[in-house]
Amino acid sequence: MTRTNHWLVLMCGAAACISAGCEGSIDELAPPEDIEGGPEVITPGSSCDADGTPAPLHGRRLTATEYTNSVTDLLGLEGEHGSFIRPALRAGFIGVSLTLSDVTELSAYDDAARQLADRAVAELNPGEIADATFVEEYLRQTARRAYRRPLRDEDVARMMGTYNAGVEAGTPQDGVAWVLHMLLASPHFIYVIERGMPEANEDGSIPLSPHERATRLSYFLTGSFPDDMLSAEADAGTLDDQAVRRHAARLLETRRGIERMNQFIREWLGLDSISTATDFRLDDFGPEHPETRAELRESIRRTIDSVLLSDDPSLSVLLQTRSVFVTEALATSWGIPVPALDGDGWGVTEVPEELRVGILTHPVFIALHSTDGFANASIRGHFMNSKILCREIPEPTADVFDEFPEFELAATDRETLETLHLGDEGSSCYACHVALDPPGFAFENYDSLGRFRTTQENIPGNVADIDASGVLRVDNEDSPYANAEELTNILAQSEQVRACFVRHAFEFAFSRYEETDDMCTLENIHTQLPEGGGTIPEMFVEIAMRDSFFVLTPDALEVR
Amino acid sequence: MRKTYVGRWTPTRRAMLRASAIGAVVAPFLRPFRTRADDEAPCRIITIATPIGHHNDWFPLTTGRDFQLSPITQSLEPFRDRLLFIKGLRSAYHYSIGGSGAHKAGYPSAFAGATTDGDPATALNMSIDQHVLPGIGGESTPIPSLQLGVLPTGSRDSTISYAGPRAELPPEGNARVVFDSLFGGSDPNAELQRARRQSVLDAWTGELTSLQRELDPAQRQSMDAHLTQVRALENLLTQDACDAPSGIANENDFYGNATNMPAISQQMSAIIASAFGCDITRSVALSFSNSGSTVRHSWLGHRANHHSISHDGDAEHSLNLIAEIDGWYTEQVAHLMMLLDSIPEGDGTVLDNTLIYWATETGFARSHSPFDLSVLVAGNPGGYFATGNALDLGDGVDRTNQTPLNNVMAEIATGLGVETEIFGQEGFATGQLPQIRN
Repeated sequence: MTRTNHWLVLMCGAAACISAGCEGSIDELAPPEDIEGGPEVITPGSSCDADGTPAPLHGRRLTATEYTNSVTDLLGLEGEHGSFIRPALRAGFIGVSLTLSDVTELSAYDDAARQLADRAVAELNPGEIADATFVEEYLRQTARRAYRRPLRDEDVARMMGTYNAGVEAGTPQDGVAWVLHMLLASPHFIYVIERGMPEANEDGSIPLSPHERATRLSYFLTGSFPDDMLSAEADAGTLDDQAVRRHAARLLETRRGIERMNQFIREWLGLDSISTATDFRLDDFGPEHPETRAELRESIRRTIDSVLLSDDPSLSVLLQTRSVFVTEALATSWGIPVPALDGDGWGVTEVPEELRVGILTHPVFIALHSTDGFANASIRGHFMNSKILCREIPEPTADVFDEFPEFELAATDRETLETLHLGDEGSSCYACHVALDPPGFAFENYDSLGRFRTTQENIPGNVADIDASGVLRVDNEDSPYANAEELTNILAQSEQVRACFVRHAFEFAFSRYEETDDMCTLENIHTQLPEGGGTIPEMFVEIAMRDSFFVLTPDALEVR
Repeated sequence: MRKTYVGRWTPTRRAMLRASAIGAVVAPFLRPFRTRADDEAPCRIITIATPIGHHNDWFPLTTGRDFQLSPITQSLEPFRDRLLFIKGLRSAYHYSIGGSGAHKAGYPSAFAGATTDGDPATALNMSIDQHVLPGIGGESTPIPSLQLGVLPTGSRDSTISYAGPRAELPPEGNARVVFDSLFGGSDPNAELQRARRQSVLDAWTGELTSLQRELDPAQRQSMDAHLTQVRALENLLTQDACDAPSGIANENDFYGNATNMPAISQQMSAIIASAFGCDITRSVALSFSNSGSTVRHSWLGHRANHHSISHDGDAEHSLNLIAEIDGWYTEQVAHLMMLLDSIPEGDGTVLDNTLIYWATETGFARSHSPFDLSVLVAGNPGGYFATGNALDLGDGVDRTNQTPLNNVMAEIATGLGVETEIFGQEGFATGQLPQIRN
């Protein structure tokens, strides 16, 4: 029953690979047994009956998205409520530091909570606010959902104390507003605090309580607190494996579930950096106007949604979709025929496959993996290596600094890079770039704004043909490709690419890089999926089904 | 070589007088203090990050006590007796295993003397602005420290302050939010709002206190930090009226917009000056933008962005652009120094009692070199530092044997009252740096 996937082992060899530098060829490092001092190799059926003990997770603070979703679900108020929360990266995904930065960050919580509380009170019926019984019930319910657990006596006492103080100083409206204000920036709301069950597991790990399980599940799959059905299951103490599977499948079909998977894909592809990019390549899309970023973001979001909502929401379809969603402005800028547009000004074009195939040829993805006016195969190749193939390329070492060569612009972007990086086989540039750049050459047909091209005129008067062919090292084989279409077809069939995708989903779910102890968790997710990798929702469900997803680690025991 | 340095600030007559007088007359009588100044003049620290290294001529054209500033740093001339340029330093990130790119690893190296744990903006050590808090009485002010950004794009790679491993303290780039936190907004229902805030703060304090008792140490530490911030809000609520800075924009979308960088920079400087003048805090980390910045300095007439320019070879045109960018950042630092110098304190000014540490993430930017870094240490709290000098520590030293940047920070910590033999990553730092103290 155990289908061992050696790509998982290879991934964990990254650290060893890096310390080895790029002497010789990176490809020689591909088979795991060649990694000197690498991780222990997992042999089929030997050790992965159970997951390993996961690394410590010291509580979490809600990310900007999670805070926004939670407030929206709590109060029914729309808006980017959590935009003030300062992000930090966690395994390449957008997370947040557990510790507050300084008083200005708490002050921002305080301001947001105050304004939200006032908005919420304004929407309540004045007659209801005058009814003390109704108010207490309303506040109890809101606090129960915000705290994601049954209320304790001290919670209620504190809450009603604040309410009474507000009524005394002002009006019943003030009483409700003060309590909501307190709840919306309460540590019980903005942190996910986990204590675990009294009895530890045999391996020393501590199982989460039913409400903590429901909370982890819900934030992973929907980016918000448990809904009433899931909460009821936790209340009843019936949230066993079967129930987790049932709720996971159900939640992934909700609007929030779809958006959560969409968010994972966007962050995996590095697309959310559009929101904060200061790079004025964006200018080149036309006169700068505030809608540009929003439209670019929306275009890629819609394309991903169309895959997630299709009959086969799988990685291979994502890698081969031909749907590009555009506004008139985007279509014109990308040289795509303007399709029929809906009332919001959006339409979808099915682009011919010789022009574009898959999310990796979406103009927004291409533009974000370019540098000023330059179709940068190194940047695109770096993405392919780290995010699609899970092949780590070391950072430059000191000797690279000694031989940073002068260079001139050649006829095409590819030629410029090839001369610079691969011109001298003995150079330390060559050693790394020979693995780094080639997967990026497939995208030469797209300029730095993602527009299709067949020729380039870097040097005035010298119109050169684009060469987008190359050889991709994947699944331990060298596969030649002629262009991006052929490359994406190879990727869509690859076991290595699927395993790499699972690894990044693991990192998204666990909010950290995997460690050697996680190899069995990864292995078990992979083996539970159908032949061919299954769908993206199936993968999310299998992650949520792992025992290691629902435990605290032994160091949490210290205070018990 | 074309020289265009956009001047936005003209030194005041007073600043000019200080500059000419102090170096010659006062300096010889300064006594080498090893402890911080008396209680009436608190010591303070500002750490400043600007991205992507420096132009070669950012460092003075000649070294020693009679160093000559280049046109790039001319705006600092009025403060020359309080400047200490150091070059020929190496950064910790070269030694990073599994590091996450030289730019991203640069800030953790430059401000915490440590590598990252894989994600940018996570340092495996506490940063210098946090490390010195016990020495400067950080707990006695309403706020222990402030993290500010001019354009902290999403704030991830702009972080220069760390409470410890995986405890990044990212900067706030919205001066309106900072202003409201520190100096309060005007509210017609001030009394009711004040009562409300107090009540809410009391409830949070109650929750945090009961949580502290039941959490594991790592989570408890974060609740402690949270409680500190709750108390800080409370302190600010009850503090005496204080001179608040003016000119803070009201529209939130003013912030985060690169074209407003010059104005935001001035606003943040004004906030820092007021926060120090009112003794609201004694530690500020100011990050201009993310490491590897792709800001286009449109107000200097630039069309390409900073990062692109830095990789554009040695073309004279590109070097001129880098010089202009460096000149602009220097003017921002000079402007901040001018504001601090305009606030009298004891026999001197607030600037005299403030230690400014200005660093960047890389040496030779084009190749992301971790060698040949230059930093500026300015101000001179307690007279500890041997300012009025430009030191080239890399002269005649093999690059890999250059002095770790950490040693500068060990000296800063010691000068500010936290005796520190080794600062930052073990096995990298080699000690202190006696050359930079009196």
